[in-house]
Amino acid sequence: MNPEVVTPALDISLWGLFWQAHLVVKAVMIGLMAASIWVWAIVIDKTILFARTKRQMDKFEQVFWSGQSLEELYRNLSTRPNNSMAALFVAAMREWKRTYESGARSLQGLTQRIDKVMDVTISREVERLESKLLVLATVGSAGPFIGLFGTVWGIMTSFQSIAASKNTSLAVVAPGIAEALFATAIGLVAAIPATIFYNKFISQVNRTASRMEGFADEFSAILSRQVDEKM
Amino acid sequence: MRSGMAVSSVAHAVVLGWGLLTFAPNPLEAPLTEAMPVDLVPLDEITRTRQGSLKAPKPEEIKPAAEKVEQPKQQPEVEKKAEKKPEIKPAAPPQPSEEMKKEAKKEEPKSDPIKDLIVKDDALEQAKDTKKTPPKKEQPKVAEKPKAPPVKQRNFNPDQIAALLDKREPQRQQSSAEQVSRSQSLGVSSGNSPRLTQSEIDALRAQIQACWNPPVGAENAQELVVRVRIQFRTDGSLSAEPTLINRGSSPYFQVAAESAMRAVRRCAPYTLPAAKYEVWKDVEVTFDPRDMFRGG
Repeated sequence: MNPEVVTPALDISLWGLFWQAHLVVKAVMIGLMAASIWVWAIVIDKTILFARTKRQMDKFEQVFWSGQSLEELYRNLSTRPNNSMAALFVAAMREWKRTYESGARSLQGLTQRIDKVMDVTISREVERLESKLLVLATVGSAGPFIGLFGTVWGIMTSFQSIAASKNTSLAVVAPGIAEALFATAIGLVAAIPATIFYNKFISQVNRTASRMEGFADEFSAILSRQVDEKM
Repeated sequence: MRSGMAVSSVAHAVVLGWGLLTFAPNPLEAPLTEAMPVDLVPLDEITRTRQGSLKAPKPEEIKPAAEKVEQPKQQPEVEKKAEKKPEIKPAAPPQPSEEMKKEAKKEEPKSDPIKDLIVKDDALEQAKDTKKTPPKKEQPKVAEKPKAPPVKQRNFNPDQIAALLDKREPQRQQSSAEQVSRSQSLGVSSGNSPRLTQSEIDALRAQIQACWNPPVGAENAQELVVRVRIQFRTDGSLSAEPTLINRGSSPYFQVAAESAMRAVRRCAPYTLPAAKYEVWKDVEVTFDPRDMFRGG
């Protein structure tokens, strides 16, 4: 026992744990904190976006199947297609009208062209919904590792200080390990919601995409029936 | 995105602020109990010093200390007083009767020792101061003097008390048996409980030592001193696992600690005086392998 090794009065509060940490551990903590803030910003943003998209799609489908004239609907929406499904509808109708207005003789390739246009629109809309979800995935998978890196670094330095002081009592070891573990705690705090919400949003994106594809197939069937009737 | 960011930042700030205010560690509170320290070291050292002090020739060691303390300057005055006064006194008081003289003569031996002591000391002083004059010359004077003292003894003269007083300073002696046992502070600090006697502590020590295999061949034995806290039930069995009190940095310390704990566990239950259970309910035992190696 070394009585001359005077351990300073340690602040074990949250702020004290952060302030006494090594520079690398501090950087890790700050980075993870920023990641957590960013993750939650994305989560809030996406939650609002998906809720709005679902509401608008429901509304559009209601209007579409209400028996309203497609020409009239197109005239209402063409100026500003305010949601994914409306954008899909407008893109297909534009292609249809363009073919007719140009007075094309052959309608053979029209159905294929409409399908292509709708596919492109779907992929563009899915991309818009999926944007920034990659951040959630990255934080969710890398957050614990970054936190663990901070912890390992902190424990490393605390063991070095143990070796220097040649004192193995728990009172010497404990504060260093506590502040090191704090890094992992922040990493998990950032990573857990990121992973949960990433899975939730990805499933929502897939559901929306399949719903749009279903609509596109139905609309494509309607248009091709029209084409066949005109021929 | 802006609104999401703002909401997220505010939420984090709130959570962090709440954490800063409420995240306070609760220190683990161990029950405060007074543990009685028992050193598990052979009694040899203590008993040896005790025997040694008994056998040691005391007077020779003490006398020099006493002579140094005495101040030589005052002695001549005392001597003069002692010599002069007997001459004056016979004149002042009325002549004592013959019976009284006889009694006084009988009492001579009683009065002599003190006088002799003083005179002898003086003689020694003088012998030291002036080594030329042998003490034998003084002896006759001492023999002559007693003729006066009987009278002095008869009528008690308060002035002479000063001369009769033992002027030697209290001598500092080597610690005797009493002092050795006094330095063994045993018992709890509260002080109102009975104490284990040394022999009872020895009994406990012997019981534990019988089961103790001290770590053999470890270097730096001074780092392997293990202190273990033992808690007993009334029947002398362990009420809890023995706990280590100190820690050591030596790689062999763990081995030493294990051996100590094993010793404590193996020898349970112990036979201890049930009446003093309050004292040995909670005991601190020190295992010191150095003393074992030294041949305990």
